Amino acid sequence: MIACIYGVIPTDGVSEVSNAPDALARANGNSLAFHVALLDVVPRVSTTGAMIWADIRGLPECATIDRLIALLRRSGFSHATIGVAATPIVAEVAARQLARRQIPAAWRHVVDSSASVGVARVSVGDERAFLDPLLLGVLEPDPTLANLLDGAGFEYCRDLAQVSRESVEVRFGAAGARLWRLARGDDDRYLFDVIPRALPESSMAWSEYAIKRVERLVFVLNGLCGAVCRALRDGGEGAMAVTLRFSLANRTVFEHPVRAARPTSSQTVWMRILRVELERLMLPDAVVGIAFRVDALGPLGDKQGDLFDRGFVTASAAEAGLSQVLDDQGDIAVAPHNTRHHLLDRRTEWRPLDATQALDISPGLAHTDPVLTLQLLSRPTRIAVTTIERRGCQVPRTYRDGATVRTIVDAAGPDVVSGEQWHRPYAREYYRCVTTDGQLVWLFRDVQGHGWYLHGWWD
Amino acid sequence: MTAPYVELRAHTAFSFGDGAVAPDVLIARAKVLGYHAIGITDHADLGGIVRAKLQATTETSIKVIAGAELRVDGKPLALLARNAAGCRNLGALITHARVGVLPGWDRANPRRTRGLPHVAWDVVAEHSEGLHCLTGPASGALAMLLRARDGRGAERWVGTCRDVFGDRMAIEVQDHQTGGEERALAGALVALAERMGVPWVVTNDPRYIDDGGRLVHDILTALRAGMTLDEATARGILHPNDTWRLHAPDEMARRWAGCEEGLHESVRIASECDFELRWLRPPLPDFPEVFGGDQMARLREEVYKGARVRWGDTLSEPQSRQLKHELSIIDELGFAGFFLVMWEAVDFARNTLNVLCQGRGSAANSAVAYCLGITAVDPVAHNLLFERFLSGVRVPGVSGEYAEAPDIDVDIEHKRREEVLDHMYKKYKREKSGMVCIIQTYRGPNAALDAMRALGYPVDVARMVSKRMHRYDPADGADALEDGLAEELGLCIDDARGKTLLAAMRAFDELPRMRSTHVGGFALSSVPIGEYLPVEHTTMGRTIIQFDKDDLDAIGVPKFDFLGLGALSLVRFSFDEIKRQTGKCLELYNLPQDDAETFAMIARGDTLGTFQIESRAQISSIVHTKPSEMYDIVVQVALVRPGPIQGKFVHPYTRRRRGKEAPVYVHPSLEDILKRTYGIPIFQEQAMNIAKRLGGLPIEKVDALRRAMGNIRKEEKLAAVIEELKQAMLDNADNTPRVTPDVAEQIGQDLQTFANYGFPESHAWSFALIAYATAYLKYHYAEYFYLGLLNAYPMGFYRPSTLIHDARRHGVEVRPPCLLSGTSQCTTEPTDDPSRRALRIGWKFIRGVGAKTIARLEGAQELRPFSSIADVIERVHLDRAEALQFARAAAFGAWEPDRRRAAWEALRAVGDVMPLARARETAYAPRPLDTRELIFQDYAATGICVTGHPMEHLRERLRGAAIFDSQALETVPDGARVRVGGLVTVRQQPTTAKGTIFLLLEDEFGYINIVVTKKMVEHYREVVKHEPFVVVDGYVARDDGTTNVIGVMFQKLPVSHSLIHDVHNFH
Repeated sequence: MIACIYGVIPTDGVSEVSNAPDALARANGNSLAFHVALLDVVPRVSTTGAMIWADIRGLPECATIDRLIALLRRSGFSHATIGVAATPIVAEVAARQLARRQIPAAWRHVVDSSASVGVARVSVGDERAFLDPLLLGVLEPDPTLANLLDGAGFEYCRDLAQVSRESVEVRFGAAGARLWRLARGDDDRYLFDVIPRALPESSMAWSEYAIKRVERLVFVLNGLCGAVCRALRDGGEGAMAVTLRFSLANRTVFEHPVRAARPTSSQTVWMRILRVELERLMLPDAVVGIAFRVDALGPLGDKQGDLFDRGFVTASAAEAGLSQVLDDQGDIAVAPHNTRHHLLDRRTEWRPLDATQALDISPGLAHTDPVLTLQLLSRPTRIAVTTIERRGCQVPRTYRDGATVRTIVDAAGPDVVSGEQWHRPYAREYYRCVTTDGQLVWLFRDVQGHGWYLHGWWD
Repeated sequence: MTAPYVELRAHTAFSFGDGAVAPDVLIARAKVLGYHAIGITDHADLGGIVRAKLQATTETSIKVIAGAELRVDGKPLALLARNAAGCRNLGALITHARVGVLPGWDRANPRRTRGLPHVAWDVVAEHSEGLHCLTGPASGALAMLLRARDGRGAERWVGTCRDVFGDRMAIEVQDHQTGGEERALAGALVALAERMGVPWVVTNDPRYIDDGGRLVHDILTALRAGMTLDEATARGILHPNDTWRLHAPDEMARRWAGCEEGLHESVRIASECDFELRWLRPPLPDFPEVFGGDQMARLREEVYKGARVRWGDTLSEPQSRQLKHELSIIDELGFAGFFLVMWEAVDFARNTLNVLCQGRGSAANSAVAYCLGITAVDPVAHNLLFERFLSGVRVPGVSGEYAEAPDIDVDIEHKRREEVLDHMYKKYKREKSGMVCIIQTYRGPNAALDAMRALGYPVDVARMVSKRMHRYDPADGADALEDGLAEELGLCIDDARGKTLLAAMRAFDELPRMRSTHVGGFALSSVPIGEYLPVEHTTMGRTIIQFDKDDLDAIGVPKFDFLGLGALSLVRFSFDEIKRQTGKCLELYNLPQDDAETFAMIARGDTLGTFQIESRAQISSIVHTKPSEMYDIVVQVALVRPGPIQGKFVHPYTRRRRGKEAPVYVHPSLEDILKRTYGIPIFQEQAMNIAKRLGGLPIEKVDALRRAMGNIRKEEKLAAVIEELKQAMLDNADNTPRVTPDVAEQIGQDLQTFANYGFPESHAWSFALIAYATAYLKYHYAEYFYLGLLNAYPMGFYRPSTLIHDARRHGVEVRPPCLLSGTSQCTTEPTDDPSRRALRIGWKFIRGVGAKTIARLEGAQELRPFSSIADVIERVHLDRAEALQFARAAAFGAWEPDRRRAAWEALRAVGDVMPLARARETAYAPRPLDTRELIFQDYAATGICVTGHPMEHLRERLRGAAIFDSQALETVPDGARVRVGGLVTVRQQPTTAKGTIFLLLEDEFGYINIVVTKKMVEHYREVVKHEPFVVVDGYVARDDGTTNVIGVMFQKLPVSHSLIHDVHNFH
C-alpha cells in the first residue's frame, strides 16, 4: 500500500518537487527534523507537488499509519490528511477529498474516524469503485483535455471508466487514454527512487592496545584495503573516493577523505595514496580502530590525466574531472566576457563557466596588433591637475603623480563618454596626454564628481 | 545679428526610432538657442516639416529648411530643398525610397520593405534639381571610403557628386568628441574638400534637445535592437555621449574655433535654401480629363439632373435660388472638380457596387450635395445654412491665402468600404492618390511599456503598469505613479531605475510614435502625388501620405473622406433579406418619415440596437423628451453628448420640451433662431445665425466664428471672436430693441459654452435619418433588423447576447447556428407562423473558430451541403477544439440534437485518421443537459443564448430573498428601498460623471439601471467592477418614465456555473 500525505506542503503553486523541503520549512520551520522523523517511520519517501508519498509496502500497515499520525501531530500538522490505497491516484484522491471533506457518502466507511489525523483507507480491489462517483476534476486533467471531456459530457470518473479504451483514445488522444486509466484506479507512476546500494566498507577495532606508528597503521589498512579492492574488482568498478575513519584513544573520531585521480580497484595504487596521506596526517591521539569506506565509485578503464593536456585524456574523463572540480568547489572556472561598453574599465566581466564551456576553449581570440599597449590601472587614481582652457574645455597642463609633478606637452581630446543614467551614471572627458618625459598617459575628468583621474598609460 | 552657425541636419521624432524631439519643440528650442534657421533631415520622411513650419511661422519666426536623410545605395546622404523644384524632388525621392516605382503597387501583394527606405544614385541624379547635397555622417559613402583609406575612391565619389549637383554640394564634417578616429576622419574630410575645391560644412546631426530626449533616444535605440538599455550599453550600440543634442550656435562656434569655414558654409547654405508649404500642394485631379468637357458645366448638369429626381421636374423658387447661389460660390472658388469627385464616388458606390452610402457633416447643408445624391438631407426643406458648409471666404494660411476646401465626409457600409477605396485608387490611378495618415503620439500605456521594457522590468510588471495608464498622457502617468500608483502596484520608483522610468515617461510626452492610416481620408492629384506629398505604403497594401489631416489643411490640400459606418451595413443587410424573403424593396430614403408606431416605440425607450439613440443616456433622455417627429430625433442626436451634458444644457431642454419650463429668449430676435430647440443653442448653424442677425457680421466674420468654434483648443482665439461679436451686437443699430451689454454678455457666455459641443444641424439630420430607419426596421421588421445588426457586428453599444435577449423579447424566434441549413452569417428561416421568420445565428459567432475555418466551411458548403457530422469534419478538417465548439453551439443539431452526443461523434471523426481501420461508432448516452446548463453552454460557445436567460434559474431563489426583477421593479413606488439583481451587461463610467458608474443589469424580463456613486464605487469596487451577477440594495428613483436604482449596497450573486460573458465597459 501507498500512503499519500496531503496538507503538509502548502498548495500555493510554489511547492514543486525541487523545493518541497523549502515549502516544508515554510510550513513548519523544522523540515529537517520532520524529514528525519518521517524516514524513521517509512524508509521510502518522496514528494510530488503538494503530496508526500510514503511507501508502506512490506511494513505493518496499521502500525505504520499510527506512527505517521503521531508524527504529523507531533510536528504540528494535525490538519493534514492521509490517503492509503494500493495505487497512487486513489491514495492521492482519497487524501485530497478527505481534506476537502468531499468523500462521497457511500464511502464514508473508508475514513478512520477514530484517528486524530484524517485517514482514508481504500481497500485493494475497491479502487475503481471509490473513484466512480467522483467528478473527473479530481484526477486533475489538463485544461484542454478537461474542456473536451466536459463538452462530450464526461462528468464523473465512472463516465470515463465505463467507455472503452479505444473509443477514448480515438477521441481524446494519448492524454485521454492516460486519464481513462486513472479513472479506473490504474496508476503505474514511479514514485520512489531505487534504494542506493551499500558501498564496500571494511573496518577493524582493537581494545587492548593503541597504535601510534604509521607503519602499523599501514599494515592494518593494507588488510582492510585488500578486502575492499577485492569487492570492487568483483563488481568491475573502481573507487574514486574513500574515507578513512579513525577511532582514537581519547574516544573521538577522526575522518579523513581521500581521492584518487581516477577510479581504481588496485590495492597497490590505493595503498600508495594512503601511505602518502598517512604520512601527512597529524592524529590527535593513538588509534584504536580504523574503517575504510568507499564514498564514490567509477567505471574502470577510462584514463585520467592532466585536465589541460587534451592530447592525453579522453574527453569524457576530462569533462568528468572538471565536473567534479566544479561540483566540489563551485563556480571556480571563469572566463572573461568582453562587451563594447564605452568605459574601458567596465568592458570585461568574469563569468562562471559550466564544465562544457570550460572545456571549449577556442584558440581564435581576436587578433590584435598593438603598436602601443594601453595599460589600465585596476582603479583610476585620483590626481591633482592644472589646466588651461581650449575651445571651451579644460585641458590638462600638469598633473601630480605621487610626489612627482609631470608636465604635459600635448593633450588630445576631450573624448567624451557619458551615459547609463538609469543605473550607474557616468560622464567623463578623456585626454590622451604626452608628458615631458615621453610618457603617453590617459587622464580623465569626472564631469559629475569634478575630479581628475589617471586611468592608464601606453607602453 | 546672424548666428555664426546653422544646424542643417536636425532629426525629429519623425525619424521614427532615431529622433526624440517633436518638430515644434525643436523649432521652439532652436529659437531659444539663437538660431535664425534650422534644417530638418529626418530619415526618408517629411512628416515633421509642416509642424515645424507652422511653429516657425506662427510662434518663432525662424527659417525652416526642408530636407531628408536618404539611404543612397545603402549609405546615408542628406539632401536639402533649395526651392520649389527641390521640394518636389525631395518628395519624389522619399516616395521612391519608400515605395519604389509608383505604378508597381499592388494591394494584393504589398511589398514588405517598410522601414528600409533606399534609393539608387541614378534616381537621385535624376531628381537633383533644386536640391543641396550634404555628403552624410561617418557612416556615409564618402566617410567610409576615407576610413578605408581609399583616397582615390573618395575623390572619385566627390567628383561624381559634383557632376550631379555642381556647386550645390558640401562635404559634411562632424565632431561628436568620440575620439581620435572621428577627429582623424574630420581632418581627412576637410583635407579632401580643400584638395577638391569643394566646400565643407559643419553639422552636428542632433537627435534631441535635452537629457530627457537623450534617454528617450537611448530607449528607442535599444528597443529597435530588441534589447534592454543595459544590453545595448554592453553591445556599444548607444551613442557614447550626449553631444548628439542641439547645441547653441555659439557653442558650436567655440568647438570649431579655428575652423570657421565650415560654420560659415552652414550659414551660406541656409541662406540659399527656402521652403514654403504651398510647394507641397499638388494640383487637383484634371477633372476635364476624368469627366470630359468643362467641369463646371458638367457639375451644373448633374446637379439639375439630380434636382429633378429629388424635387420633381419643377423647382420651387427657394430651391432654384439656393442651387444658383451654391453653384456660383463653387464656381468662384474652383471646387467643381471636388464635387464631381465625390459625386462620382457616391454614384459608383450606390449604382455599381450597390453599397449604401450617405454624406454626413456640414456637407448636408448643401443643396448641391443633396441633388448630387451625396447627402440625404434636404437643406431647403429644413432651412439649413449653406455657409456652414462653404462660405466662399478665402482665408489666410501659412501657405498663402486660399479657399478652405469643403469638408464632405461620406459614410459607407463599413463592411464594403474597401471596395470604394479600391475604386478611387483605380479611377484616379494608384500613383495619383493616397490615403491620409494619422500621427500617433505616445500615450501613458505605450510610454510606460516601452520605457519599462528598455529598463529591463519584467514583462508582466510592465504590462500591469501599462494597463493602469490608459487614461493618462505619459507625463500625467508619471505623476500618477509618483502620487501613489507605484506604491499600489508594488513598483519601486525611488531607486535609480524607478527615477529613470519617470523621467523617460515625461520625456515621451507628446512625442510622435508611429504613423497609421486615417479611417477614410483620401487625397488626389493630377500628377503622381508622391512627387509633392511623400508617400509610403502600409502592410495592408494601401498607400498613405506622410502628412496628417491637419498638415494637409495647413498645406491647403482638399481631403475626400470615405468612412465606414456599421449602421449602414445593418440597414443594407436588413433590406437585402427583406427583399429576398418578402419581395419588398425598401430604400433608406423612402421609408415613411411619420410612422406613429415607430415614434411610439422610440418614445418608450425601446431603442436597443438602433443607431445613435440606443445608449442608456439616450434612452433615458428619450423617455423624457418623447420624440414624435424627425426633428426631435435630430435634436436628440445632437443633445446627448458629453459637451451638452457638461454644458448643463440637457436638463433645461428636457424641462422645456416637457412644458415644465417656458423657453427664455434674452433678446426677441433669438426666438426665431432658437425656437425649435426651445431657446437652447444646440447647433452651430444657430450660432452662425446669431452672429449674422444680431451681430450683423459679414460672412467672413461669421465663418471665422464657425472656425474658432470648431477648434476648441484655441480658446483665446474663440474668446477674441466672441468679444468681437459682443461688440458687434452692441453696435448693430438694426437690432430692435438694441442689444444691451447684459444681453450681449449672456449671449457671449452661452456661445462660449456652446463652442465646446456645437454640432452641425445638417450632421444631426444625416444621423437622425439612419437612426429613424433602424428604429423603423426594428418595429416593422424585427427579425430582419436583428439579422442586419448581428451580421454587421461588431458595431453599436451592446453585446450580441443582449441583442438576442432583446430580439426574443420582441417575439423573434432565435435558432442556434446550424451547419446544415445555416451559413457563416445570420439568416432567416420559415416558422409555423407564415408572417414571421426565425433568426438563425451565423457560424461566425461560434467562439474559438477562426476566420480561416469559417472560410473553409463556406467553401465546402458551396461545393455541396454537408451530410453528416463526419462529413463536416472530414471536408473542413476541423481540429478537436473547433469540433467541440461547433457541438457545444448546437451547430450539429441537424444530425444529432444532443450536443454531448454530437461532440462524441465529432471527436471520433476528428480522431479517426486511419482509413483502413476505421474507429467504431461506439454507443454513448450521456446525461442530457438541463435548461440551466444549456444557457450557460450557449454563453460559453457563442455568447448568444437562444434557450433562455441565465437569471431564469436563479429567479426562484431570488424571489425567496425578496429580490425584485425588472418587471416587478416597475410596481415599486418612487423613493422606496428595493433589492434587485441581474446580469451586468454594460458598465459605463463617463468622464463627465465624476467617478459615478452606471450599470445596466439584464434579466429575463428586461433591464434595470443602477447608479453607483463614487463613494459606493470605492466601497464595493470589486463587485461593481468585476462581478457578472450582482444584487443591489438601493432606492428607486423615478423621473417621468425612467427608473433608476441608486445603489447603496452591492453583493456578488453566487451562481453554480461561471458565465463566459462579455461586459461592455465604457469610459
